[in-house]
Order: sequence, then C-alpha cells, then structure tokens
Amino acid sequence: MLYGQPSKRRSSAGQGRGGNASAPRVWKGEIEMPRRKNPVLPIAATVCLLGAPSLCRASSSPGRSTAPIAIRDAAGKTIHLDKLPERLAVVGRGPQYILHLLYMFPEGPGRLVGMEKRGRTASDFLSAVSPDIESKLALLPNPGPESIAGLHPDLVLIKGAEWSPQGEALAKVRIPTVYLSLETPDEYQRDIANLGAILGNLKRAEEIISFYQGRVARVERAMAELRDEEKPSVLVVMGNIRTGKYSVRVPARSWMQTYQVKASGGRPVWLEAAEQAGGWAVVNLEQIAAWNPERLIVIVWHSVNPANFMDWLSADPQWKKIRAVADGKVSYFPSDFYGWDAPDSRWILGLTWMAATLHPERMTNYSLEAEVFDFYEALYGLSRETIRSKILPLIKTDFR
Amino acid sequence: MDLEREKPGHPEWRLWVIVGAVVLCLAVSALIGRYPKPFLTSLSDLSDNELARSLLIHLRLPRILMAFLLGAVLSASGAAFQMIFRNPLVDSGFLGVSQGAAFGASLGIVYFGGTSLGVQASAAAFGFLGLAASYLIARRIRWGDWVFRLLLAGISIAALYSAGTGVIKYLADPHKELPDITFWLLGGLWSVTWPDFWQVLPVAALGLSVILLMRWRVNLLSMRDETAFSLGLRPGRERLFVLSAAVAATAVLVCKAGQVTWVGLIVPHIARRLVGADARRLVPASIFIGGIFVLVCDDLARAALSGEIPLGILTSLFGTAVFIALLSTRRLKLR
Repeated sequence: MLYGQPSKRRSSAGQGRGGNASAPRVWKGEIEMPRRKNPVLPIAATVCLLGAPSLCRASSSPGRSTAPIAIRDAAGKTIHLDKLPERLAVVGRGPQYILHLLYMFPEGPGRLVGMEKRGRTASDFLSAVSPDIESKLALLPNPGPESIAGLHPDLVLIKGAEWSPQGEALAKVRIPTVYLSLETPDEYQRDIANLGAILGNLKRAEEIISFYQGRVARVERAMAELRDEEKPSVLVVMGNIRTGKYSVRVPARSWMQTYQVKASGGRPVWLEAAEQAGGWAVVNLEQIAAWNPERLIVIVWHSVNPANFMDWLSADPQWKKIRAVADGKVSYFPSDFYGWDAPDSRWILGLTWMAATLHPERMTNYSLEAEVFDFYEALYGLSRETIRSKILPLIKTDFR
Repeated sequence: MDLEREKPGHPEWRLWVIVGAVVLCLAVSALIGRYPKPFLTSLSDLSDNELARSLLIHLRLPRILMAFLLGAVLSASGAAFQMIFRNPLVDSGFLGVSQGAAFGASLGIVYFGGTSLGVQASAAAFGFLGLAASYLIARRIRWGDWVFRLLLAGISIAALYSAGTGVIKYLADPHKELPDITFWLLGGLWSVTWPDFWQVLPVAALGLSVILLMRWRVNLLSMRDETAFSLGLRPGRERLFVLSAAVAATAVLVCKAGQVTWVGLIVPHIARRLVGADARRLVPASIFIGGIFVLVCDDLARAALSGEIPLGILTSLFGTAVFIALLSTRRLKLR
C-alpha cells in the first residue's frame, strides 16, 4: 500500500457541531463525499488507484495497515517498510509537533522510544497530561546519528520537508526515516495518513482527519456566501522583543496563519512583505499605516502577558492611528500550552476562533470552551475533568 | 592666505563637500519611507497628512539620527583602531566587543527571559567584559609590544565569544529563540525610537568627542612606542584611553542595532582616499562618510521593500563591494 499520496476524495466523520454527515464536504476546494460505513476503504482504494500500483502489495484489514507498506513522505521520498515499526524516535526542528500527533494514536506512546528535546521538556503539554513521556529517552538538540541509533529505532520521524543531514546519515546506517512537514492543512492530512500507516491504525488516522475536516468544512460553509467586499483586511503580526514597539513580524505566505486568515473570511494584507522572507519578515509601523488594516491580530511573544501587551498597544499614540486599533478591532491569538496559530495540532482551534472573531454573525453557534473540550476529548482522549483542571486554566484569550 | 587650501582638490575642501553631502542625505532620508506611499514622501503629504507627520517625527527621525550616529561611531572607531594597531584590516569589533555583545544578546534571548531591556543589558555587559578580558589577557602576555599583545588577546576573546554564541544557537529553540538570535545577529534599526536614541547618545557622543579631540595624538600613537614616547606621549595609557572610548561608544550602539559589519573596516579606507591619512582630517571624514554610508543602507532597509531588510546584510553587501573595488584599484595604506 502506498500511503501519503494526495487523495482527491476523503470521507468525513462530521464530528463537529453543525456538521452534517450526509452532506458533501469541502476540503481545500475538493468536493468530499458523504460518510461511508467504513471510512478506511475509500482512502485505501483511492491511494491505490492514484498511487504507484506496483507498490500496492499489502492487503489491509479494515482500519489496520499491515506490512509491508510503502510511504511517500513530506520530503517526496518513498519508504518501504517490511514490517510495521515497533520502536519510533522523533527528531528535527519542532519535534513536539510530531509528538502531539503521535499521541493522538493509541499505539503512539507505546512505540515511542525517544525524542529530541528542544526546550525544557520535549512537550510541556504532554508532560502535563501524559506523564509517561518523561520515561522516554530525551536527546539533546541536534542529536547525531550515533545518539539516535542508540535508541535502536525501527523508524525515525523527522520534522521537515527536505532531506536533512540527520536523515542522510541515518540512511547510511540503514535506519529508515520518514519526514513530516505539518506546515499546512494539506500537509497535515498527508502526514496524519502516513502516521496512521506507520502505526498500523488507518481507522484512527481517518478519525483524526475527519475531525479536522469537519471543522474546516464548518468554517468553509460559514464563509461560503461571503462577498469580497465583506472580507475585512487583516494583519497578523508577532509582537516581539527584538522588533521593538513600532515594528513587528509578519508570517510567511505559506504558513498556517495566512491560511487561517484566508479560510476565515479575511483578506491578509501582508502577503507582499511575506514574499521576501522564507519565514518571519519584519515590517515597520509606516508600512502598517500604509496597509491600514481593519483587523489586527497579534501573536504575543510567549514571555509577555498578552493582556498587558494589548493594553499598551491600545493606548499607544502611534498605534492608535492605525484603523484596527482606533476601532478597537484588535485581538490576540489564543494559546494554552502552545499558541493556536502555530503549525501544531491546535491550528484547528485557531481556525475556528479566527472565523468566529472575524465573522461572529456567521459562526453564531461557536463556543471557544466547547471547541476546546471537543478537541482534547476527541484527539487526545482526555476526560472533561482533566481538560477543566489542566487545559482551561491555561487558555489565554480575549474572546468574548 | 593659504591659496592651496582653497583649491577644489584639497583635502580640506573635500571635507566640506562631505559635510554638504551629510546635510543632503539627512534631508532626503527624512522624505524616504513607506507611508503614505512607498519610497518618497512629498512635502504636501507631510503638510496634509497628520499620520505621515507623526510617523516622520516619532519614528523616522530618531531612526535616521541613530543610523547616522551608528555609522559615525563605527567609522571613527575603525579609523582609530586601524591607526593604533597599524593594521588596515581591523575595526572596533576587534577586541571582542561585537562578539561579546552578540554572545550577551543570545544569552539574554535564551536564558534571561528575552525582554528587550534584558537583551540589551546582557549585550552591553558582555561587550564590555570582552574589552576587559582582552586588556587583562594582554597584560599577562610576556612578550611582544603592547599593540601586538592586545591584538592577540582580542582575537582570542572574539573567538571564544563566537564559539559561545554558536553553542547558544545550537541549543536555542528553533521556533521561539533562534529566529530572534538570527535577527539580532543580522542587525537592524527597526526598533529605534526617541528614548533609544537618547539612551545611547551620551556615551556615543562622549566616545566620538574623545576620538575627535585626540585625533592629532592618534597620528603619534600610530608610531612605535619609543618614537611616541620620545615625542612626549605615554603611549600605553593614551592608546588604552582612545580604544576604551571607541569601544564604549561601539558597545552601546551594537546593543541597540545588533551586528552591523564592515562599516568600521571599509569607511576609513574611503575617507583615506578622499582626505588623506592624517588623522586630523581622517577622523572627521570617517565620521561623516560612515554616517552617510549607514544612513543610505538604512534608507534602503526600511523603504525598499514592504518588509524590512536586515541592515547588516546591506552594509556587508555594499561594504564588500567597495572593499573589492578599493583592493583592485590601489593598495590599502595607513599613512
């Protein structure tokens, strides 16, 4: 079976509130068929038809992938696995993003043997809700192939979309690697499907994809009739220590924040500036004044209290001359353990929040708290009590 | 009456032309920006548009003055360093100050909470620590003359700091901290406002004043110790005084602007071509040309594209281009 091929049609579980299981769904412009009894079969059939037929050697029982499998990963390479890996290691820039995905699968925690640790913990979120992660071996940043090989992994998951020296070195000692990009919704879909194949649980992969699809579809339906003149001009910025008071950073064109604004019925104004840098680009207040956005959405630096930052911004005489600030149309991106703007599993929470923020009249049944409960229950299996005690108190938002 | 000095080709006459260019550049820079339209702000825009006026007064002017000051300090310090060390390839970053500031800033970003004040304070502290360490190590070296010992110590400290910065970058969170370190290392004046300018002005002005007032003695300090001593100088002490003033002025500006390279190296060479190697004219010419150089680079950085271009990239780009041009046309010289 060749997994990771872009599928033209995917089934949808329609789990989200307002979801209609029988209605066609739309995912990034593709018409999606109504839900079927076995959600895995359409994927299996489609990828076999669209993928390389010579690679479709395995027969999969419903919801389970069996070895051998072949996966086309984010770096565009095809990985053949004779048996499903039992020992997984996670490395690369932003390993927590893969870990957060891995822990959505019941098999994930058990098969994880070690990971690269970029911060004080491999993931503050998992440390809080799944203490077993502390028992995994944590490697220091940028571990060499020998350190990774010391974990005796069957497969190494690497965050990224291009071949890395780590991956090349591991290939030389015959440790297979799979790259996961996780930067856009489409890449998320592909990477979840790949992870499902690796873990032998296509059914769970389909559930996760359906969860995301359901919410994306809900936002797209809400914005379907939106005319261009109804779309507010939106500027998403990161307030940061180095950029100072009157210059900020704007995200790259291909990043999640840009998608979130577009999908939520906004008109991103910063795309020209985003062209010149592969990542964050710095813009000054003169340029922001020239754009004069109707809505300003701030990603507040992690060490800064967002409420204080917003108070300062609203009172500052220079910022007050920008239309969004003058009109009181400034919000900051919510966060819990991680920001909802990041290419983390939480991007879907950020999407629905942004849609409700930009067009509350079109998202009348939106409840931020209910979204949070749904998300953590459906994807991580957390109890409502755990969510209430460990997640909700951490949420920073000005959404009312 | 000295008729020679009134001829257009005379270095003093050229110095006045440079002063005129400074005034012109400052005036034009005030009209360059991104609002209300890209590149040039017309006078009618300034009179009719309150926001344009406000942006000019509160953001553009302090940044323009800071850019000029940065260029002036880096270039004057570079000229003094090149003469005192009798080496055309050194600048004020040579005693570990720039590298120390970079290390301090990286440390501040990763381990001291990353607040603006914390980063600047850490950069300043480690910048000065670099100078102090270079001085103390130079004193412990028991061979070679003072200039040579200071040179060796400076190279060692700079290398040590660079290694430290590399380690911090290696350990930094690639999503939260590494971009900040990278931005800082690339240099830029996008964060400058009036309070920033007033904060650095006293130390920068003091450093520049010392170099300016002692410029004629710098001529003598560029000679061998025995010669300078026989001419009535106390070379060790006076060199340290001039170098300290140059380094202090550089350090406070580097803390605000990040690493802006090549200015201190290249501008003294341009000035030397125009007004000669005599420090009495070389230092003021370096101040003015350096100011123009960074000002023009910063105008491009803030107005050429809708996003800011890191200043350090532009100064490196133009600096190396000029350097290659100078190398291919005539030998670099100090006197």
